[in-house]
Amino acid sequence: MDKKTILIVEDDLALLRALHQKLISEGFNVIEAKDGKTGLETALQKQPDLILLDIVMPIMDGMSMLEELRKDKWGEKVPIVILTNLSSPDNFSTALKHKVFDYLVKANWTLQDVVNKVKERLGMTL
Amino acid sequence: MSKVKLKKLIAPTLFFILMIISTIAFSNAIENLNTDQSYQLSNYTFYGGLTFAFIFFIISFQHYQDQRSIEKAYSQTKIIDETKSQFVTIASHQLRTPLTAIKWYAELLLTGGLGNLNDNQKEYLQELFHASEKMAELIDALLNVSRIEMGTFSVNPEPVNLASLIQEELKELSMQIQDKNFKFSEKYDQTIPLINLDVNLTKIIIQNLLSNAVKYTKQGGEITISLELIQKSSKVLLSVKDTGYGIPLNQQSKVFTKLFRADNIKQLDTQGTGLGLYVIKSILETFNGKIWFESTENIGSTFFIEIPITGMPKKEGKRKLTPQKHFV
Repeated sequence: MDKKTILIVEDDLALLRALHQKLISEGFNVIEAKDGKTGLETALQKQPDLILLDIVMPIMDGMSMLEELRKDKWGEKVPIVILTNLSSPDNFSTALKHKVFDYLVKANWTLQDVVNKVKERLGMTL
Repeated sequence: MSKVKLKKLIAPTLFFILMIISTIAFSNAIENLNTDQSYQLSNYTFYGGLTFAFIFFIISFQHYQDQRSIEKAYSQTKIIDETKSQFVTIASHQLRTPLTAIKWYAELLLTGGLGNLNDNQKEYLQELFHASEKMAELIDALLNVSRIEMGTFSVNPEPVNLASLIQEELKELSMQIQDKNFKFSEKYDQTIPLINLDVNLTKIIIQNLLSNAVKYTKQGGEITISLELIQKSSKVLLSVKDTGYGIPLNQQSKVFTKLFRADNIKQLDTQGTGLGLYVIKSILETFNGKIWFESTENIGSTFFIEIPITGMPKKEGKRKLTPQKHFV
């Protein structure tokens, strides 16, 4: 089976590295972006199987990237899991409006939980 | 001055003008009587009327200014509350980010992806991992407390079957119940109607109550849950009885204060935030609910919760209170 590609859009380098390491060890291809603008360009260009998207980021935040991405024909359907440390319901309801698969508060989940969510959405066995 | 502010001054100003006109007209009418006293009387009427109109106008203006300062103070309080609320949201985000790094790196090391660890190393990393989980839980609890105290949380009631909600939450605890080998009994009154409650808030109440019973009851202890309808007072009574450590008599008055943890528990257990019962009480008080308890040290505690069957009133708010993800 082809390796699935995950795009991580995350500005905190320590968290980006931990996620990267975990996903690689679980057999995924990983691509990265450190802000929403690069995230949007990378997503449209590389068309990953799923995007892990942070919200608070420089240049373009995650919610704006999500909005822009959903305007694209491919981007409209790509599975997205919001991975943030903001628990504001304003963002939560906007994210739901844009049909994200899940909205996870990072500090409350383990890396294994995140991987399980990714696999669940991609229809892979846990 | 805005249109609204001007509008509020129109009525007293018109009334003022009307009073002056009627004063003049009335004093003229008296003067026209042409009697001996009419000229003097007309003067009295004129000046008296004018003074009265001025006093009326000054009082109205004063009232308008008082209203304005009340409105101003209210909107300033609202701005301050919103600023505080935003600060808490951002601060919790900033606290959670390094915390996530601590938790995730401890997890990476523990799962052995970076080589084998000896038992001591594993044990210390476990401590680090659990401490980070507890800290995440504490941040969630503090966020809830700040939202309760600032009143910024929303209440969205919908018809809820309380018994089902309790059973759902119990499922989440099934591992801990099995691990501690509890004798467990539940009794649900079937006549309880659906009650309009906010699901999140009700979950927080049930979670905190059940997790306390499970946390503070020894291996092999007993937990009894009962839910009954009190017809006479149109209320539902939920009681959770345990045979746990109990609360020392001299500390029972502090049970519902923030960050309180009983001395006998502090010695035994590092879990718990000391915010659960305070949160339950604060939520219940928003809709005339009640909480109280009976407890004897080393014998156990029973916590009672009374919920009016009229449920919770809807409340607009920018934030939500969050139930715990892993609540034990």
